[in-house]
Amino acid sequence: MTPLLEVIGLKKHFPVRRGMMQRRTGSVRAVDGVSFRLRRGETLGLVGESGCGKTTVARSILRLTEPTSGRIVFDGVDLTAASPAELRALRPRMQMIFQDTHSSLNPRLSVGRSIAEPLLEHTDLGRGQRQDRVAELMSIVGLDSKLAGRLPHEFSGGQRQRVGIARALALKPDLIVCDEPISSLDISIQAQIVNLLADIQEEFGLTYLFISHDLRMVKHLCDRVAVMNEGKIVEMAPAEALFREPGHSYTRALLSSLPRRPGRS
Amino acid sequence: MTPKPPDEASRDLLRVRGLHTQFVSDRGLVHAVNDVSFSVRRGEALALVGESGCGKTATMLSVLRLLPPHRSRVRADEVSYKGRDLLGLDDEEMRRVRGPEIGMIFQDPRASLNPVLTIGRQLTESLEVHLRLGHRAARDRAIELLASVGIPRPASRFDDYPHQFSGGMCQRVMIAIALACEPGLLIADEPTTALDATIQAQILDLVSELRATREMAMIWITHDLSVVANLADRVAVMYGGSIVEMAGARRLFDAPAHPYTQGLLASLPALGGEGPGRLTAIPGQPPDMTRLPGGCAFAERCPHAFDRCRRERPPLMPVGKGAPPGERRTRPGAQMALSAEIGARAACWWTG
Repeated sequence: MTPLLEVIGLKKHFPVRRGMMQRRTGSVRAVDGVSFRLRRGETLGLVGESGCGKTTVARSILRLTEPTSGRIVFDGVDLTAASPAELRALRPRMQMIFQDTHSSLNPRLSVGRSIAEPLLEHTDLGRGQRQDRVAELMSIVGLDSKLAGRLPHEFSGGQRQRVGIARALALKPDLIVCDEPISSLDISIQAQIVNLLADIQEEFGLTYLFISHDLRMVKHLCDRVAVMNEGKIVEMAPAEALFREPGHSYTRALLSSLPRRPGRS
Repeated sequence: MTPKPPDEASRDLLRVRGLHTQFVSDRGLVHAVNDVSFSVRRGEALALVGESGCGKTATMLSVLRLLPPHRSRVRADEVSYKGRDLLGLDDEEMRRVRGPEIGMIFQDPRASLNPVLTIGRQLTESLEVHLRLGHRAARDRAIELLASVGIPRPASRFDDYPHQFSGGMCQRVMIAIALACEPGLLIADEPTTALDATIQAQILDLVSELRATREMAMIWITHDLSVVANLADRVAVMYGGSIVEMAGARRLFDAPAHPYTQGLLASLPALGGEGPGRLTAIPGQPPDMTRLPGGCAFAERCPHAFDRCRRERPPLMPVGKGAPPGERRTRPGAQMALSAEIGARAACWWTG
């Protein structure tokens, strides 16, 4: 079976400019030759410390940033060579959940409207159908649909992340890129959101690219894990094996920095 | 005040009794700290654990008198350091406590460092002011301190500005500044939260080492339970502005007594053992601090809550010695930890 997503030799270099004339004096190799495949229904964890390039990989896949070189093939279509019309047709099938729910939701739009936006953009549903779909999405993520008229600031962080998830689900995507989806949430809320992500994956057959620095959650949620360091994937393995026998010295350093598990181990 | 037996009084470095703190906000009066009492002994590491908005930072800012006076109200039966009443000091006297007596590290090192002064200047400033060292002696001491917190080539980094340091290095500089005057107590508020895992581990090692060599007491404020397990002697868990459980670190993790602590520990995924499954999540959300319920703040989310929990706020009470609730009955190791540890307390009608 063809993989849902294939990333081949992805590079993204950012120019470094210096001086009054802003001459280009070099470049930062944020992503430096990354390749991996994502099977349908699978969860791949992408871990590494800040600045290792994991978010740039995610943004390149969703074409939020233009890669310097390399290919990104989604369901057989090379996104780096696709026409604008092809890209637009594929867009609904790839969605993203963001870390910061303050900046990823428009503060002036009601949450119902935020969830409905992708429907307005990409479907020809009528007003009533849209409202029904928004109510359905809200109930899927565990929100009371009576709250659709409220503004984001009236919600807690966990509820806002539920809104973000509902919006990502609106167009029935195949792939969701989760960029640190729980790291800004209170600890007593994190498990709720992780469970929700697992539930909707099972219900809708979603494929996840799960970006995180929380190794425990990565182990809990992911089938395979790719460890990034300085723009490269230094190790990729099934989650169980990676945690049991880390192969690369950087992975070992990362794992050994994990404090002992309190309580049951 | 009733006189204390001298040995007990001298063991407590910091004593806080009956602390209440309120803020004025657009949404109303925030009841940030509600009747909090604790003490820290010489050389002891106390962790103050809880999620954002639970009152842990407000507690420490109240103790240090760093809250804006026109927007906050702080009252307490006692806040004393080495027997001195901190609430009765004037501003100038309080400034001489902060730094030389009680060192502080905050979450965001870049926001706490002055961007237009060199690292060296920021270090020597407190050495010259508080320890009255001369210019040369302060410089030498500062370079020593930078070396002791693991800054490579400290003499050549002395004249660098904060932006020339990485986040982890900035936090080391903050620790060096906090340690400059050899305080008896170090208060650290989420000092490693913004740092990467490997850097965080280095900072924790560094602090443990410094604590061992200097016999410094410490209050470590964090939301990260796993950090606490390695670092603290004793743990105070806060929820809804109150301490809901206070116990030795081992005891707390082996045999949590309060349903909130139990819920938090159960919601963490395990590193070894079972593969993907569902996490045991705590339902609901943390309380609105402008509208705290009359009873236990956790009652609404608690699987064990009964009438009294909603009616009456439980005080911190000793946890039953023999058979506390949950899994610990079945675990012989936990029983040993239990008998080794006395004085565990929980604010819970169900546990008590």
